[in-house]
Amino acid sequence: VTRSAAPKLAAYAGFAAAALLAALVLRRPELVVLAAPFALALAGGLALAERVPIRISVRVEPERALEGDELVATLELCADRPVERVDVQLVVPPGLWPLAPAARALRLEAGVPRVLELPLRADRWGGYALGQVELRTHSPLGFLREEGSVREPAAVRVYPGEAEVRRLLTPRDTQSSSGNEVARVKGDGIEFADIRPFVAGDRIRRINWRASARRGDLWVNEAHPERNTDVILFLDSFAEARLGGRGTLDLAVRAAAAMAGQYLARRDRVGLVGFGGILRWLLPGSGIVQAYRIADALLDTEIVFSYAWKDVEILPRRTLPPQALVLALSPLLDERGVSALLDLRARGYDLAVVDVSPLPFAPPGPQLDELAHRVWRLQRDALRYRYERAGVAVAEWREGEPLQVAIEEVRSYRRHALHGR
Amino acid sequence: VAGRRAAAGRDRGGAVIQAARVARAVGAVACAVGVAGYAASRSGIWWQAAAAAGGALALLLAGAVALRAAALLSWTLLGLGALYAATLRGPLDGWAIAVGAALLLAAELAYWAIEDDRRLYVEPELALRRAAAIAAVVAAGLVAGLVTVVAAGIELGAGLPLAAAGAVAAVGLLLLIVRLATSSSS
Repeated sequence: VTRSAAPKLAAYAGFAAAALLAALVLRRPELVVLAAPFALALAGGLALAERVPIRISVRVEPERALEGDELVATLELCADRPVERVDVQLVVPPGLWPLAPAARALRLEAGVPRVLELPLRADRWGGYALGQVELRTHSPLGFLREEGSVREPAAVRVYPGEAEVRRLLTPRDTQSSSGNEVARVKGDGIEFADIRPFVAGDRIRRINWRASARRGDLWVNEAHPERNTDVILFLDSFAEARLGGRGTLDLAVRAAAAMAGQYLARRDRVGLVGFGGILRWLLPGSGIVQAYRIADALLDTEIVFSYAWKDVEILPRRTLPPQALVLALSPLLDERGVSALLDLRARGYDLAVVDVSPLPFAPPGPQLDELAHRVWRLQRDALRYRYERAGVAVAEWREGEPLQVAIEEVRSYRRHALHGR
Repeated sequence: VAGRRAAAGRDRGGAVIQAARVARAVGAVACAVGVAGYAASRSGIWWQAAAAAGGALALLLAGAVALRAAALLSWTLLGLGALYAATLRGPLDGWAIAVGAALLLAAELAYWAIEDDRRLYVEPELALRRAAAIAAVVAAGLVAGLVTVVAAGIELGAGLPLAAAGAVAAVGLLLLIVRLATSSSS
């Protein structure tokens, strides 16, 4: 705590001293009369000033929220002796927006706790450490002030709001566990696939009596089994385009959260790879626990600037299981991310790319010439064509457009490519 | 809904705070003008010069409040005091009590106006308590001035020891100011 004199103190003392000296020099008692109120106020103000320790506690509820939710930060202040005026400011980190003044001036009675409630709106996903409180106390007549900072850790996790997805991308191959995806292979299942001649060991209940009667021989039904799939969400966090408080990483994280939730609801196994300056991964898993793991991992995703060249070799093998659908969310701004995706395709992974377009965040203007902007757009088109030539479905997703549009574009390309094979 | 006019004033009560700040500034300038006017009325043939100087000081006070320049305020107070001191001659002026109280009120209102911060929500109770504190200080200042005027009327046979004691007290006060103004303890 730092104690300092208010400008008023020097002014009053200076005026009183100057008036008293002038009274002596000029032999005029009126100047003593002028000085008297100032000297009296000064003496009273300094006599009443005392140091009072203030206890503070901070808590935030709820500790977990979604983007757009409202939180309430509660500050409790208490002092053993009365404090005439204390200015309190809760330092609100960027990403949270105070819905009421975060700085307040109030009076503390001796031993009576004061509770302040500050509503906040969670504007952006992320982990936030609230709890830094700036304090300034004023002496009764405002001649002295004490300033200090208190840190009472109060963590809040804001999960990304999920973009609406009605229909997900279906992987090319399924896994062995049961799930909601109709496998392309034939086996025990509900979905009718084909009929074939009866062989020893086939169940009687699978005989197709109508077909058997028509052909004069026993034929049995075949079905597609319902299997689960492995989906790896590949988040390119090498670079992003930002404009104001919005950026491509925000969109990518929201899309990843939405798709992870939907895939997990279908009993698929979902993994996460954060491929950027800091490499993060989450092995594929299913269930509600995995949903929380993914949500927490997404919160830690950030752009970390790095010159180090990275490729998919550095990824642990188990993060990319065979026959998994790798769904990449990338602004396609960094060559390392672009190369890594092409490398995955070359290794035979079922890859789909949602190009989180940086164009809305980098409009042409004073910084970027119109011609340069056009060339850049053409380069991005060429890059997407490069992916398509490698057999990778890629769709551009711009801010404001539904994610479903991009997914449907990828889906239609994959369907076309499947028929073309 | 979008077509409706915006709500009057700012959110978070900024308009109310600004209005109060302007009222305090006007009160401070009014006190300064009162002191300057009284000094001009005592200036005899120099009343025009005194009025001009007083007006300039009142403007300086208004500017200091508008620019939140606390350093200018102390010079304005000194200037007004000097203007009044320049008009003193003849018998003891009993209105010095009112002049002192008016200067104190001007200073308190001006500092209050400067300290107002629109980002800070001040509880209404605090404003009332500060107003009461200012009223109490000004009232105490009037009483102190009255006591000083009464004491000045008592013949003590002024001499060198009393003048020396007064000088020592004034210098001591100056030293106290310097120490308080320059030191901040952690």
